[in-house]
Amino acid sequence: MAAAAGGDGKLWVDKYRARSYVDLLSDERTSRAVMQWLKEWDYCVFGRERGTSKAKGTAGQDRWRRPTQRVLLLAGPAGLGKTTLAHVAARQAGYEVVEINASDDRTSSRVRERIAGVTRTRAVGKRPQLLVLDEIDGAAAGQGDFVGALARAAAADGRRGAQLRPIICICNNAYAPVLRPLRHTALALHVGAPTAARVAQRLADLCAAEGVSADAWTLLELAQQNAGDVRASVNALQLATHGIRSLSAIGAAGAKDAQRSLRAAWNMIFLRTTDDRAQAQAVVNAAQTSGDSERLMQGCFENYLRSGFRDLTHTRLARLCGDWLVFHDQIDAATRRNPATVAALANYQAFAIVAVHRTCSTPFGLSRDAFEYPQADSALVQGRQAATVALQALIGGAKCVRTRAGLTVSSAAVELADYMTRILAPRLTTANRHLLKEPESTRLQRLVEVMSAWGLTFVQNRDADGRPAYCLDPPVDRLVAFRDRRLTNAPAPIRYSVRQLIAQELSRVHATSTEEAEATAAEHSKQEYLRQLRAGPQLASVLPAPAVMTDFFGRPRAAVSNDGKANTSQQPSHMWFSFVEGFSNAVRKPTAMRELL
Amino acid sequence: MSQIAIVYDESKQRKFCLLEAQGSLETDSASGLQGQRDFATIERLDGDKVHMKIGVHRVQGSVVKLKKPFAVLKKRSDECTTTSDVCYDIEAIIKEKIIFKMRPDVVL
Repeated sequence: MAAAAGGDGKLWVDKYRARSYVDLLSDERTSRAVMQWLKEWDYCVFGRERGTSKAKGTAGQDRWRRPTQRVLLLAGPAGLGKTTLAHVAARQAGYEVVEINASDDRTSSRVRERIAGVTRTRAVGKRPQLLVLDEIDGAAAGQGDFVGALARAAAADGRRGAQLRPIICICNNAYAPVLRPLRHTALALHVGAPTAARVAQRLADLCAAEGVSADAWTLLELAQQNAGDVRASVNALQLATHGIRSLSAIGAAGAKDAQRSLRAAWNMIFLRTTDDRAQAQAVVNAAQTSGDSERLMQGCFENYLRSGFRDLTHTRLARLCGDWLVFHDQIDAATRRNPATVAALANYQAFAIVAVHRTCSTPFGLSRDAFEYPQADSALVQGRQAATVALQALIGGAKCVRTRAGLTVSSAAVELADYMTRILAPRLTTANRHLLKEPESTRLQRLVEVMSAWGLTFVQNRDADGRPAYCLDPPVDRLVAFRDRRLTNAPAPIRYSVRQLIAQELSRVHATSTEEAEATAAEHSKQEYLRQLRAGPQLASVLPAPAVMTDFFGRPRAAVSNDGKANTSQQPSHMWFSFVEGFSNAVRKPTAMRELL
Repeated sequence: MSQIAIVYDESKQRKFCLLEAQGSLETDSASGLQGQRDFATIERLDGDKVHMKIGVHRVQGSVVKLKKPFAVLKKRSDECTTTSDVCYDIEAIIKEKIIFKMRPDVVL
């Protein structure tokens, strides 16, 4: 990468990294949420009140008046500027950023030490420090219970171990199983991709600063191809403009280059010229040199309906699908089974693409704005990954161990997810808990029981349109969400207010169950104490001295045991009986009576 | 041929008791079990049930009749030292023992 960097040897990504809050490309609402969360620390860190009175109630009521959620979790795909957002917001709020790239220092004890050092110390004359833990999902995978330790540190309330500085964690996948302990204690913010237009605008600014001329359309296309990935867009731009000056850089700009040649091939496929034979030859050449026949075919498949060709009887199209596309797929499958055959078979695939050309091409070709880069494949892969992670989270969250052991991701997907969403959609006519009548209140209670048994919650979030929404967490319902509701006879989605009611009910149940858990823990520790007492009475000194019984006039009264004699065993005895469990393996040996008498 | 005389005198009989416990007595005093006295109280309940209290522990036991009784003998040392005749006194005859095979309870 360094070789491909610009004239001053710096990557543009670093050179033009956002320096101030207004430079941030990320979603305005997300940035503001981060800033607001940081401001909630002001009293604890800087000892001053928050400037605005707005949202004052969200700050915690503990000793240091910290916010209730002491860790911020920024989640989102790579290259959207999560790290930049954390750094810029932290600097803006007056902190000095300490970054631990957790994929570097792998040992959890070292990371824990540094966390302790940063969050519990107050440096003199310096800005207070803020910890940024980058790539936390990658870091946590290899090592014991690092995330759990972090969550515990965040929850610690003692005077010594308390976390007094904000911690920002950055991850790609908020639903990674290792992050589970953190997800419930941390404030999770999903960083969305900035719009392509915004990225293109930034790229244009960059070009102007670097003295490179580029038309807006190319920049927009570049931004679109990288799907909002700012880092990739900037890198691609730098590589492309570098390529103008030096020939050696063409290879380095491979990704973009390949996309260019693929585009040219698609244009050729959908364009009919007067010289049909020459055009077909050109298509074969383009297909054979593109090197990615599968993607080429996917592009054809996703765009052929936009080309506007005439096939009134659909016979040509049917022949195309029946013959050539099947042929293409067969070769594809064969090369997948045996990669050694790629070289021998790939050339034949080009003829399937020529068949597409003969069927679907028009004299006008494919217009620029009609064409779409094939995305179905990558969207499928991503969707599959997200679904797998959600199901893993669902299975891992089940309280019953046997349930967990009996489920795999595939069985949960096929047998559980659909019914689960039906179970989670009760028919409730009102969202007012006090107005619920008999069958509905039982329904609600049952639902809450089910959800707590599976560790499911509704978290407040925003949907794609920016409206507040309660989303199921882990998002199992997305697995069975189809765009066309008529296809699935799925229950109507639960209303916002009903979800709110369920969420409130859940948190209430959760609170009481934690209380119960604390009570059982207390009972358990009592039992443990008694057990230790049984093992040895040296602990008896820990016991409070037996209260001296007094009679009616306040005079101390001798303790009287049941048989009427004064109880003489008040002082703790120094002897005890140690019980040996199991059978006796005693050895008989002669003992002289003199030793006993 | 030497002769061993075993003398049984009804009036001199002392009461002995055989205790069998699944476990051991332990102490944290420096001298160990040596010289410890009156560390346990044994209480006979109705029937064959017995309670033994040691410190804060109370062990349940039961009285069991021995299949073969034991005799506790004591060598008479004052008169039989020089002669070949050895003379023993029966100190006690033990016909039953108390078995403690239950886990101890804690009495606070």
